[in-house]
Amino acid sequence: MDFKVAFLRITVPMFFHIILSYTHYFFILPDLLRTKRLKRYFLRLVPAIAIVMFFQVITENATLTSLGNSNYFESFGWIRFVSTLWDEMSFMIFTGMIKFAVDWFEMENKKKTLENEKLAVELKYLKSQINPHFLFNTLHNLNYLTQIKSDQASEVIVMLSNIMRYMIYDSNKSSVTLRKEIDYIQDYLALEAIRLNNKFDLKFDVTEANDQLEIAPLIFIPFVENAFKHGITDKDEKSWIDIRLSTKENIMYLVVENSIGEKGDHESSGVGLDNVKKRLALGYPGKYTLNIDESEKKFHVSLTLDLT
Amino acid sequence: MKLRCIIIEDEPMARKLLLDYCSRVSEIEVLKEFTNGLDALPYLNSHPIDLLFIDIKMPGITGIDLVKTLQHKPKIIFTTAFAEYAVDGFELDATDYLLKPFNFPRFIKAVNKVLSHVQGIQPEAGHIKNAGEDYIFIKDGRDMVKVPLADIFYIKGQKDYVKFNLRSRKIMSLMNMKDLENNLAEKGFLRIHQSYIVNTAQIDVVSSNSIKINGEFLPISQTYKQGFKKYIDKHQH
Repeated sequence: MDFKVAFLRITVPMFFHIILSYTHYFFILPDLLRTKRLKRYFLRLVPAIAIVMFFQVITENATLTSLGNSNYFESFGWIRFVSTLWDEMSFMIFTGMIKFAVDWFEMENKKKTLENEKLAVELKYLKSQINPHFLFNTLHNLNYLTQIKSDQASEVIVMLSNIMRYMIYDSNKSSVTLRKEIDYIQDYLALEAIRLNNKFDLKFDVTEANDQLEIAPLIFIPFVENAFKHGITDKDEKSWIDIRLSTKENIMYLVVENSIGEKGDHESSGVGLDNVKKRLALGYPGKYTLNIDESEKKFHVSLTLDLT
Repeated sequence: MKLRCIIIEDEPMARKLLLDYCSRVSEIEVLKEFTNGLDALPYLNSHPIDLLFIDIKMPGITGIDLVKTLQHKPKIIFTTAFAEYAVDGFELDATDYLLKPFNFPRFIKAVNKVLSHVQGIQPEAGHIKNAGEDYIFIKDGRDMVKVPLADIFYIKGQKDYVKFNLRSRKIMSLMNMKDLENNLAEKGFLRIHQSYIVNTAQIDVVSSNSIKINGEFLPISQTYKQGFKKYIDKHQH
């Protein structure tokens, strides 16, 4: 008998709590969140509470009065009103909080997806900034080499094809082997050497590098392009570029040093470097260090990158 | 008249190619070449020139900024790999804008534009087109320019191109002397020399070894003397 009493005393009010909480959770509260109309919210909530409480009191009177504690259920005074209301409200407010939490997580998720999409778009854009200007200038050089019927023309065509293949097919991947990136840089350097008649001192040392590590494509090229932008011309025969790439475990070290020509184009050189800084920050957050020093005669870039 | 011209270009091969193209056109005399704008500035301000070939993207100062600073602007032909600069280029009243890579025919077309400007007369201006008039299409770059036969004085063959000497201007064109000779034979044109086809209607004076046309003397060579004599005989009454 006690069990039946306990059961009814819990389930009857619970039934009404559920009805009110669900009505609030699925209809009244979402409407508030959507429209932000507080007055309409209360205009719906107060009658809803009143109706549910009305039916709860009637049902309790019908089912619980005969089961003892009849004093409480026979009358309807302030104490009963407040305690019933408090019961209803606490359930409703608690589930309402859940609604807020769920919404917050959903929104956070959406924000993150959006952010990721934005980053992907930005990365793509940053990659696409690799200049077509180089391509057309090289084609124009080819124009000259074929004009004078130089054998170098075919060399240039092969190297340019390699470079284009890399840019078209590999630059969209999230990572490539270090070997591919090195080959790309070597072709680029060879083209520049032909363009400038080999009139500068070029070193590219990769002997200490494990070329099977994976790296985001086109990370090195801005540093190399930048080295050429610093006034290396065919007139200035003392120009030099020294590039060293090495790896230890999964850490990669890149050092690019070059002489600074008298008429270096200092202003425009920043664009490529800003670009790669952004890409490093997006692709290797917290996993890289980049130092750029410029003295009067020398430009020095060192990049340490954790490729794990 | 020769166009006094300088070249400003930082790419070594592009510079050599321009130099080569210029050397093939007898109208152009390259006075000097520079690898960047700052070096060229003092020269530009102290020497009168007619034509400037200038790259846009160069270390130090861009071609566009350099042209802006010039007090006496010569005719300007920009050369660049950047298509997006074309608008800026034309705002500076550049005569033409050569997008790299470009070839000799395109180069010739640009030079033709300069020549027609320098000679001061717009090609078709004031000329009333007559429907019945005989004409020829002359290759100008990738375009064909329509020219009335009556406007042609003579055609001069050069090493890589032919030059049409017209009433109002000169046009250089990559056409073949042999083809022109054959096509124009029935229209009153006659070959008198390895390098000359003349419009017989425009001849003023015929001497023993030369003719005078529009105030210029053109030689008659041994090879073509026979044919020319036949023409004279036909008209001797």
